[in-house]
Amino acid sequence: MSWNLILTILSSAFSASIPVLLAGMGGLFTHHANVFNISLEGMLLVSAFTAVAGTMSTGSWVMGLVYGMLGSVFVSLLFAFFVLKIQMGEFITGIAINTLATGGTTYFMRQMFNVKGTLTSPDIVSIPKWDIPILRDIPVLSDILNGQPWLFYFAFLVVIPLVYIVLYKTRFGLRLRATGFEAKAADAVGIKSHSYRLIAILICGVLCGLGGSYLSIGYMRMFSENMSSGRGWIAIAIILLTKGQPLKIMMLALVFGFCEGLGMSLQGYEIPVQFTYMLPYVATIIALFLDSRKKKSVGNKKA
Amino acid sequence: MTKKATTIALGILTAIGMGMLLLVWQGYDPLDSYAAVFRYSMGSSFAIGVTLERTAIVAMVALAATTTFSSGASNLGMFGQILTGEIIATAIGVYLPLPGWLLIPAMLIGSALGGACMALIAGLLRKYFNMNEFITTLMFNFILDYFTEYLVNTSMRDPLMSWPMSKVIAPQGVMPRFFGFLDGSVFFALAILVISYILWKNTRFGYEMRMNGKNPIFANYGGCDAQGNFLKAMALSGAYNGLAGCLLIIGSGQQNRFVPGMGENYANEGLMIAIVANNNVIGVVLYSFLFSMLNAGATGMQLETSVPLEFITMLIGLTVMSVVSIREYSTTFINNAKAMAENRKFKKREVK
Repeated sequence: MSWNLILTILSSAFSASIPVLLAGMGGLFTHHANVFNISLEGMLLVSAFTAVAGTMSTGSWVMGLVYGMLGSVFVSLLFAFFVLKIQMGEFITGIAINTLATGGTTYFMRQMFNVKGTLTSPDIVSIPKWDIPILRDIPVLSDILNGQPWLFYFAFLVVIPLVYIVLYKTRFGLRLRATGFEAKAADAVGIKSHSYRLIAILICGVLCGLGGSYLSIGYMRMFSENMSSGRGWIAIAIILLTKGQPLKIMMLALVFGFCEGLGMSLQGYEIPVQFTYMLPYVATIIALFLDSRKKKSVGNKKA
Repeated sequence: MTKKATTIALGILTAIGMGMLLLVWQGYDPLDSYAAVFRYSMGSSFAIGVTLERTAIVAMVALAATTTFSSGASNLGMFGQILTGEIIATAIGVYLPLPGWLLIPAMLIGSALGGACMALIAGLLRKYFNMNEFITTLMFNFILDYFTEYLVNTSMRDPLMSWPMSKVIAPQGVMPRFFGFLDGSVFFALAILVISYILWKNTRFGYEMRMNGKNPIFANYGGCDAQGNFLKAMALSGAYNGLAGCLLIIGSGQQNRFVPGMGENYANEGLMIAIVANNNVIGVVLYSFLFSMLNAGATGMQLETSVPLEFITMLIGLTVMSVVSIREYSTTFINNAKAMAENRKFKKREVK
């Protein structure tokens, strides 16, 4: 392996981790509000599609991002309506929403752009890449971190600290966690647990919208059927593993991004492509396994 | 019972209505489109044969989902287990030179065992390492998808085809057709459904499963072996998925070879059917038939009124949402009304 390859892998690792990271940050809010939200996958997929549709119809990436977020927020409103208002099971709603998202995006892709499978077009405007002056001069870091879409820096430097602060340092975060911990007790002291759950689902929609838009107009410049390909599920696995702690989610998202980046960069080497594509999913299973070992050893010490 | 029937009818009608609105909004003729769906799925004996064969396959997946949901296990690895069944059936059908009466059972049993093993791995990981089976089975889906794709790209590939796919299975391995239009898999699936119904309703095994799903603490207290039942439920549902995969290969209306990624729509649909059917075997049959009708007619609809066939996927999603939401909402609504009435009584008494 050459030095250049390692740099490419690391660079794509950071880039590839963003959708999972943002979806994880969104899912964390619903996790803390004790809403089992498995529609992350559908939210990512819908926003990836609406983002592409937005840039293609308006010609600006800003509108793409706005459309992406609107698409995902729409899905989250749907989820909230069925779960909170109609009191349908979260699991059932999630599965139905994911199917609707798959069918809907494929249908509208065919209907609006008359293509099947993959939608690529010169009209898709991607999120502008930032060339940061200070970073440019640092040798290794500039190769890895410089020249990424600005949403990349936004995710690491704004979203993660903000999520952390909101969750642990504000009254809202405290009440949200109280709601998730014991909704009845929260209601008894005057916290409207119902609206906190709704807000959590909406925040999840906004963040997934950013993640999905990044997927289709930042990381790649296209939309394809089922393009989220399990990233939402991986985000859920990460949230369950870390019990919703933002910094740990970031670390694990980077690990999965690394696996995906490794897979992408190793194409054309002796390993069959299919095995390199498998890496993120295998990594999820390994992470679950390691987590269970850790828990067991802790239990033994106590006993 | 009547309440059940009304909610279901209301749900389906709502979905059909929403589908019509969508079609009108998109500038199609809704009645023509629905008529085309019906004509191409039920209009001739050939069309009925196609619909029923599809029903048989998707009912297997729905049974698998029903088994896991109603026993409290959450196996979401429908797709992966279907792929396992498919690849095993293909391998046996292509490479084992057996006579027809032996080959078909061998493929069916091999696929069922393969699917069961895949689900059992996830179950064992849960039992010994406490790894959430809901995530492991999902991850296995992706891993198996890539792994089977690798197999048909290399050792199992048909060198004559330009796309990676396996060779066609031996002709005696294809299900025979009865009366010229009914595929053997319809009868096979019917037998499995009857057995499952009896197993579910009339045996201790089925009772323990249902108890475990309804209230695991009660089941455990009553002396059920919760861990053992969990593993059994996983294996059983995996076996159903494996069978579905096998039928996807050997059915006379199918391609009789393994193509990467085949069966994903069946996996999703099976899950949805189990949800709308509310874990009821008869419901599984009815919804499998309804959804297969829609799917079998989709191509015809696309041909006649040029509505993209993905519309049907959306319609199925809408049906599931509306049936389930009306069902859930009606119970909440009735409970609320009862609570209100109680409350009023209570208040009157207080006044006195």
